[in-house]
Amino acid sequence: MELKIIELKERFVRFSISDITPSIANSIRRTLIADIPKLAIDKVVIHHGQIRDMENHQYDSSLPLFDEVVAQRIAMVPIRTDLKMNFREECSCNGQGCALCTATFSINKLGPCVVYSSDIKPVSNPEATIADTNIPIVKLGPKQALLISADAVMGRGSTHSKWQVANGVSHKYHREFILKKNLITDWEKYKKLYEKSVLKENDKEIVFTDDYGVRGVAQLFEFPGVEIREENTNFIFKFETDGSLQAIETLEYALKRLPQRLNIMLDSLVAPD
Amino acid sequence: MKEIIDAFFRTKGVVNHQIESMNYFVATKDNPTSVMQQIVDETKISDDDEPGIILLDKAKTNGKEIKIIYGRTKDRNGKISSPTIWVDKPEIKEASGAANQITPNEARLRDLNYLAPINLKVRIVEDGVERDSETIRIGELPVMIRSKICTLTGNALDQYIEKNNGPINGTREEKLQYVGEDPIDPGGYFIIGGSERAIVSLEDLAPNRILVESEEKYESMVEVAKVFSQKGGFRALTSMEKASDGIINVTIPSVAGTIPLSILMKALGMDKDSEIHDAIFSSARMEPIIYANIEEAKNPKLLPPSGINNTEEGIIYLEKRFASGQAKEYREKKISQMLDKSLLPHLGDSAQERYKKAIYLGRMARALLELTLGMRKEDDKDHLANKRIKLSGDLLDEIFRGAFQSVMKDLKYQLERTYNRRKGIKLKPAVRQDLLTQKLLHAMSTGNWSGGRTGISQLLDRVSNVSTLSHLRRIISPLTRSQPHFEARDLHPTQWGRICPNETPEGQNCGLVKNATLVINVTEGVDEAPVLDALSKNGVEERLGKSVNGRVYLNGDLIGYHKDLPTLTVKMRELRRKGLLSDEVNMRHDENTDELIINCDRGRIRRPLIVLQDGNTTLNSKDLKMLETGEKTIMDLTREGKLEWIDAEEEENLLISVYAYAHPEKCKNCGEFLSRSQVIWVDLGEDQRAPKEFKVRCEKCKNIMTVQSTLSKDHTHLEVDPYLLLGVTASVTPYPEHNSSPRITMAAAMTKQSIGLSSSNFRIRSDTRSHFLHYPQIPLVTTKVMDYINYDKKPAGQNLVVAILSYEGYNIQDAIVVNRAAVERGLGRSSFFRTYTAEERRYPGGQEDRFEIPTHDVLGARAEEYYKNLDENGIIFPESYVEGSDVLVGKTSPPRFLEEGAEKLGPQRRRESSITIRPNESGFVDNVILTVSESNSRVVKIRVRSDRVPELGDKFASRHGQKGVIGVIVPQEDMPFTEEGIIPDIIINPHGIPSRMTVGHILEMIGGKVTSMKGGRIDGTIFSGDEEQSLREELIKYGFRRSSSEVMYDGILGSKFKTDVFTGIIYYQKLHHMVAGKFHARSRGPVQILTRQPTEGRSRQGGLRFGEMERDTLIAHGAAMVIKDRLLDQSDGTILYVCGNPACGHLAVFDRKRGSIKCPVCGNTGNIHPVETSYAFKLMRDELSTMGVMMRLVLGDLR
Repeated sequence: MELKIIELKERFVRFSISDITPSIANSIRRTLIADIPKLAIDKVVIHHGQIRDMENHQYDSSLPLFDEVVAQRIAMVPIRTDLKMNFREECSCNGQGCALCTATFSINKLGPCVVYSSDIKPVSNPEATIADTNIPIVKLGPKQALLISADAVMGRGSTHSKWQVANGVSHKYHREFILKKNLITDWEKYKKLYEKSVLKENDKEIVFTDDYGVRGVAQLFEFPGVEIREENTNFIFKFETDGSLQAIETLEYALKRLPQRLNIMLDSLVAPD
Repeated sequence: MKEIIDAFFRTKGVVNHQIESMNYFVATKDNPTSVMQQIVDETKISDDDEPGIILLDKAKTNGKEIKIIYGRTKDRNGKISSPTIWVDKPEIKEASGAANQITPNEARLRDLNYLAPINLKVRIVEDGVERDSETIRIGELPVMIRSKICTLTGNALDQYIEKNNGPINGTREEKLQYVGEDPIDPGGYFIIGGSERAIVSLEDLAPNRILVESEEKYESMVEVAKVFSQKGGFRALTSMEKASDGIINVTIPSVAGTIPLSILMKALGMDKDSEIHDAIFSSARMEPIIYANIEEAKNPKLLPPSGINNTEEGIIYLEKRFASGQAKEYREKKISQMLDKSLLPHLGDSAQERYKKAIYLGRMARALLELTLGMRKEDDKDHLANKRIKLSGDLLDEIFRGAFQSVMKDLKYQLERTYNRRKGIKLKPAVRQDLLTQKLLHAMSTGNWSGGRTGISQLLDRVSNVSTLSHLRRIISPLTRSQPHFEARDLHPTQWGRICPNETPEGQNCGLVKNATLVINVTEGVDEAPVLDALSKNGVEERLGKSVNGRVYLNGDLIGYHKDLPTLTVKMRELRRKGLLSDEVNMRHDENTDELIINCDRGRIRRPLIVLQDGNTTLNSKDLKMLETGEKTIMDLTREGKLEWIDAEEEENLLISVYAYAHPEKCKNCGEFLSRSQVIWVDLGEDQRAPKEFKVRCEKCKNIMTVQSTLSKDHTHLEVDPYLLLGVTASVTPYPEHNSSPRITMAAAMTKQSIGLSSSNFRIRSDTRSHFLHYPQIPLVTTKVMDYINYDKKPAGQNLVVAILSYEGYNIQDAIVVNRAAVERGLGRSSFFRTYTAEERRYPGGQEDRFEIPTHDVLGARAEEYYKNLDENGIIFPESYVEGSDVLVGKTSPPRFLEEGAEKLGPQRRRESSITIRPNESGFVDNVILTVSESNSRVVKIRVRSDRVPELGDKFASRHGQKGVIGVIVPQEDMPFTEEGIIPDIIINPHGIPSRMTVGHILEMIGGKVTSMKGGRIDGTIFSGDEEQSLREELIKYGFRRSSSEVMYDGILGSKFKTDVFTGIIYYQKLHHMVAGKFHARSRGPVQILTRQPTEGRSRQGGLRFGEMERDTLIAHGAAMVIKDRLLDQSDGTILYVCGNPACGHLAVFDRKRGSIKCPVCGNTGNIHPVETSYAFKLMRDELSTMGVMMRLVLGDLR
C-alpha cells in the first residue's frame, strides 16, 4: 500500500493509493465528505425593530430576504477552523457553550449596501475568520440595516452540508488507454495534445491514462480499437476544500479518523456471556 | 426575422390583444367612435322608441313634451355631434364622501373594486325648447389594468404621483414601483373585490353568415342552411332545411314549427313567382326543386281555394297558423314581431326591410341547393374563417348594453314619477348609478354572463408569470364539455400560427380550451363604406335578384357581381398594400364557387406574414435596420404593404413558404455546424427578378455565402419565423421538435404549475395563497421567446445536475432521488404564503366587531397564552411564530339574538370570533396590513410565511412533460459520483425515457452540460435551436464524451458501475403540489352536527372515508368486529334508551329533575334498555316521525 501525492495546492489535492480494495478507497472518500470536523454557524439571532447608527439615524430591520433565508446563507459561509476546538456535546462546558466549543460572530451593516461574507466579524475567537470573503449575503436598501449575532459550532458533514469541508471528492480506478499505432494512425496528434498523460510508448503502441485530470482524454473511450485497461486496486483520489481547512490538513485528519472509527467499534466489542 | 418580432414586442405586450380590445371599447374623449358610444347611440328605452332619446309620457308630465337626448345626433349636414359618454380615471368613493384616484395595488390591498365613473352628457328638450346640457354620472365601469383609463397608463400615473408627493422625476419603472406595481406586469385583467379577475376570450361561430351542412336526421341526410343573425347583442338562429321531396322549410326563432320557404318569401313581399325563382336560381339543375317549392305555395290545401299567390295571402296564412282566433290587431302585431324582429334581425327590424329578407332567404336556399347538387362543399364549422373571437371588450359590451338600457329605463320611470310642474325635472337625483355598477360587478365577480354562460371571468392565475400570461391569452369554446364534439377538439390546419397546437388541457376540456400563439392580432372591425366604395369603383355591379357567378360578399352580405374576380382580388389587395384600404380588410377568392369573400368585421384572429413579390420579399435589410433602431414600426411595414396580417379566410388563397432558402448544414467557410438562427439572410428584397440564390451570413465566422432560394413566383408570402407557431407556455420548452407531441402538451400544463418569482411586488401583495422559490435561476438552455415573456426576469425553476440511472429502487415509476446536500444548500427551497383577513364588521343596530384581546367575560374566550403574541390592539406582531390554531387577530363580536329579553337568558355577552391560523399549518407572520374597507370599517390582513424545504413526495418536473415526486432523499456520500467528483442533484429513472420519446430532454441535458462549462447560454428554440452535432463537438472540447455519458462509481460500495451513465444539466421546475399542503391523518376530531359522523376533508380535520368497497373486504374476511369498530364505534355510535314496553317501543328520555329515565309516551320508568345504534339510524327515526310514520323498536333477547 502506497500513498503518493500527485498534485497539491492549499485547497486542492490529487493523490493515488495503490493496492487497496474499492471498499477501503470508498471509506476514505466517505470520511472526507462526511466526517471531517468544521466550524459553521448554527445559531443566528437577528435583531428585530428599529436600529440606530452613531448619528441617531433610524434604520429598519426588515430585509429584502426573509430571516430564514439570510440564516441559511450565513450558515453556508466557510470559516477557518482550528481542529483543536471541541464538539459542543463533548466539551467540558457540558453543552452550555463556551470559548472552547463556540465561536461567536456578529454582523452590523447599514443600508444601502451589499452585505458580504467578509462582514461576518469574529467576536470571541479572532482566529476563526471567514475563508471566502466575497460571498454576497443580502442586499440592503436605503434605511435598512442588519444586526446579527451568530454562534458557530463544530460539526461534521454527515449532519448538514454546512459542516462539509471537502467538495468534489472522488476516487477512480487507475486506467490505461492502449492505442495501437497501426490502427489509430493519428496517434501523434493525441500524443501532442495529452503529453502529460502518456504513460508508456514503444513502436507498436502508446499508452495514455486519464489519472492526471487532463481534459479531453475521455474522448479516447469512444475510439474504436482502443484497448482500455482498468485496475480496481489502484485508486486516484482528488478533492478540494472550501477553505475552512487546508487540503493536506483534511487528508491527514481523514486518514487518522478512519482507524479511530474502527477502534470505536473495537472498543464496543463485548464478550458473549 | 428577429427584428420584426423584436419591434412588435417593443411597443406591444404579450397580452396586447386584451388591452387593445378594452381601449376600443372604453369611451374616452379621444375616442369618439368607441363601442360604448355606439351602444349609447343605439340604445332604445323600449322597442317602439327612437334610439338615443328618452321621451317622457305626456300623461305624466302635464301634457308637456319632454325629450332627453343621450345619444349622439346628426345635424342637417350629416355631421355627428360630439361624444356623449366618457369614462374618467379610476377612483374610490370613501365612506366620508371624498373621491380619490386609486391605484391597482390599493384596490388589491383594500379589497376594493377598481372602477372608474361613467359620465353621460344629456340634452333636455322641453316642448321643442332646448335647455343647457347636463352631465350625469350613470355608474362605474371595471377598469382593465394598463388599459388607457388605468391609473398606471400615461400621465394619469404622473398626476397620481404628483398628488401623493411621489418621485415625479423618476423613471417610469420607479414610478410604477412607487405605486406598488410590478413594472413588467402585463396588465389585461380587472380587480374586483380586491381579487384579480381575467376575462377569458370566447370563440364563437361567425354571425350573419350562411353556413350549409348535411345533418343526419330521421335516419337520412338532410341539407341545412343556417344563419346566426346578430344585431346589437341580440342573436337569432334562422335555419332552412330541404326535405327529401325537395320542399324547403324555414325555422324562425320563437316561432313553433316550420314555414315553407315560398310562402314565407311571398309574405315578405315577393309577390311574383319569377322573383322567387330569380332569387334562388344559379344553375339549371335547380329548376325542378325551385318549381316544386313555388308550386307548394299554390297548394289549395294550404289556403283554400287557390293557395297563396301574393303577399296578402301569405300574411293571412301566417296569421292563421300562428295567431288564429285572435283579434286583428294582435294578429298583425304577432306577425310583424315574427317577420321583423325574430327573422334575420341583422338585416333590419322594420317592415321596410322585409323584401331584403326575402332576397336573403333566396340566397340561403341557393346555397342549400348548391350543396344538394354538389356545386358547393359543406361549410367547415371548425375552420377559423367561420369563427370569431370575443375579447374582453366584446364581452363587456354584452353586459354594458343591458345595464345601460336598464339605467335609462329606470331614469325615465323616476323622472315620470317625480315630475313636478313647478320645479320641472331634476336629473341628478333621478339616476340610480348602482344599477349599472352592480350589473357589471355581478357579472365580473361571478363570471355569469348573459345567455347562461358561466366562467367568463376567472380568478387570475398567479402561480407563475407564464401561467398568468397564458391565462390572459386563453380562448375557450362554449361547446359543452360533456358531449364528444370530436371535430371541434381536433387541431385544424387553419389554427397554424394562431392557436397553439400543444397548449390545451388533457381530459374533458381537451381541444375546447385553447391558447393563442405568441403573435396574433384580433381585428377590431372597420367601417364597410370605404370597402364598398373601392368595390364599386372597380366595377362591382349591384344587381338584385337574378343570380350570376362572380359574386362579391362583404362580411357575409352579397354586395354585387363582377365578371373577373381574380383580377379584382389582386386589385383590392394592392389597394390594401398601398394603404388605401385598412389593413384589417382581408379577402379570399373561392375558385370552386367563384366568389370573392371580403371581411372587415370584428374578432378574426390574424397572424403576420411577409409579403413576397416575384420570389423575393418586398421587405429589405434597410427596413430591418430601421426596425431595429426604432425608426420604423410594424405599423409602418403593414402600411407599406411589406408585412400583412392574414386571417384564416385569406390564407386559403395563399402559398406560404416557411423558409426562403435551403439551410446549409455547415458553414462553407468555417465548417461549423449552423442552426437556422445562425444564418442571417442579408440580401432580402434586393433583387426583384425571382433570384435563384440568396446571400446569407454565417454568424460564427461572419462570412457571406450563397444558398439556393426555395421561393418561386407562385409563393405569395413568407413565414416571419416558424417558432411563432407555438403559444407562450409551449415556447418555454427547449427543443420541442425532438419530443413526442403529447409530452409538449403535458409540459405546457406543468409549466403553468411551476413556482418561481410570479411577480416582483410579491412582498406587498395579499393573495390568499402564493408561493415563492428562494433561488430561481434563469435556464441555461433557453428559447428566443423567453426574451418576450420576460422569463429571465421572472424565472420558475433551477438548473440541476441530473444522472439517468436507477438507484436502489427508489426512483421506480417516475420517482426522483434527491441529493440531501443539495437540498441543504437550497435546491427547490420555497416559501408559502397564506393571507388571513379580518374585518370589524358592522351589524344592524349600531353594533360592531372589535379587534381586541378577548377578556374572560367574553363567550368562548381562550386561555391567555393563546393571545400572548398579540399587541394591545389584538393584532399579532410581525415575525412571530405561529402554529396550529394560534390566534392571529383577537376579535369579539356582539351577542346574537339581541331582541330576546335579557332577563331570561342572563346578561348578554360578546362572543369570541378571533381569526386563527389553519390547524395544520405553521409559519412566521410575514406582513400585517391594517387598512380601511370601502364601508370605513377596519380591515387587517395578515400574511403568514412558511418554509417549504423539499421533502419526500414533493413534485418536480422538467420542461418536457417528465414529472416525478421525490422518492428518497439520499446523503451525498451514498450517491453515485463521477470521476470528477460530481454528485448529481437528482437521479431520474432511465425507463422514463424510451417510451415517452422525450429526446428534447436528452438534448437539453447535453446543452446544459456544455454551457455550464462554456458560459453563455444555449438556444433551444423550436426549429432553430443550436444543432445537436455542434453541442456534441463542444462536449469533447470540455473534456466529456460525445455521448455525454460518464463513468460513475457506487457511493455505497465504491466500485465502478458496469455501465456508463448519461449525465447532464437540465432545468427542473418545482410544482406547487407539495406534501406539506396535502398530508393528512386523524385519530379523533370534529364531527358533523347533524349526523354526528366525522367531518370530511383535510381543512376540517376530517376522517378518511371507510367506504362501501372497504366494508366489502371486511365482510369477505368475516372481520365483524372490525366493521363494527369502523362503522359504529369510530363513527356515529350512540346509546338510545328504548322503552321496553312491547306495546310502546318509543325512545325514552332522561328526566333531569328526577334523575331517572322515563318513556314520555307510555310513562314507563322501569323497563327501559340502552341500545347502541348509529346516530344516522336515530336521525332516520326522527325524520320518519316528521312525516307521520312512527318507528317503534321492539326489544328482545339474542337467541
